[in-house]
Amino acid sequence: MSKTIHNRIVHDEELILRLQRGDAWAFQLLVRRFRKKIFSIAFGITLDAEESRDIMQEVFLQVYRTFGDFRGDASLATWLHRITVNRSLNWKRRWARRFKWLHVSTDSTDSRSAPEPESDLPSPETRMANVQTRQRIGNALKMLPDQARTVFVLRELEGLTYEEIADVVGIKLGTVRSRLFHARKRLREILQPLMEEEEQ
Amino acid sequence: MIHPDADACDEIRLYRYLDKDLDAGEMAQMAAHVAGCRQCRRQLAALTTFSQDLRDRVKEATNSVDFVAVEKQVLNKALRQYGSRGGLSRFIAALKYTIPATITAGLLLFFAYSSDVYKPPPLPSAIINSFTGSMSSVMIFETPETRQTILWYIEETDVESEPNAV
Repeated sequence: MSKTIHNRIVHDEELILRLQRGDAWAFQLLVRRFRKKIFSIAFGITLDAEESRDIMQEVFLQVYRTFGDFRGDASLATWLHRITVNRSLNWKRRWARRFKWLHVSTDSTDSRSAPEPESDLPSPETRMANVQTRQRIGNALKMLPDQARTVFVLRELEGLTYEEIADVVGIKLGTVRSRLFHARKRLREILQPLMEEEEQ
Repeated sequence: MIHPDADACDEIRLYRYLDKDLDAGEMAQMAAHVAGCRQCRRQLAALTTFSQDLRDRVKEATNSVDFVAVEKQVLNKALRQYGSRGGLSRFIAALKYTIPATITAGLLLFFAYSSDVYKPPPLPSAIINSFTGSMSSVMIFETPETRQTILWYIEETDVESEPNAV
């Protein structure tokens, strides 16, 4: 992966070298390059935009603080994904956060993360459909165990291969397959009644 | 590997088919099965739609984030909390060499000072204030640590004088 800095393409290898030298520009480039990916992984796991922003900041600060520990055994993206997954799961483990997560309705979460629709935006019917879709996604994902949801999110949102997921999460390839299978099986069970309702 | 019962619905293989985690032969076999199996088609459609909805949901949330502001916050926090990492790391790297070098130099100076520079002169074994008589010979022994002088003299029999030579 590459991106420009001073109108020049900087590949990950050069970025790593610059970061190891403490180049502030390189750090800024790193933030710019990975911010959306990190946010989307965090959001996929937590389903909370506010917390995902905090997690994203924590990830970058951790990277800044501990970049000396990066040995290059994995790619830069894998290392960042790993930190993000750990941070997101740690967030989920905090009791207070968990309490909030389980008790705040999807509607109120959405009102913080999405702007209020203006009059020229989608019709009330579309908006209602969107809200229902969000609720459906949120409810279904929340019913998955953390580990299964993490694997599912990495596969479906980031399009990571099974090997890459194994590397990021630190599990065996067979475990990735197993968790992904159970995530989909559970989702199918959750979505089945909805599908039948739609058909009727 | 070709599945023995190609017509049977196999959930595991169906999901692997979704992820393209099958070899070419298996993919073709599953494609043929899905084409003729309404239940598998519905499952695939439901999961594919769900994944697309999830991606749209995440995209929507991502679009609502002011990443420029987040970037500024991160950079400010990083520099404020941890200082310039480069400067700090260079300083720490310099300390790795400076501290042992300083300790070694200090020890060397300490031993040199205590053994050579500040070595007290050897004390005389005796002090001759005066003697009477004629000196026959003088012998001086000198080593790095000591300096000894031996005098031979002919003592006069003067009762008032003292044989001061030692």
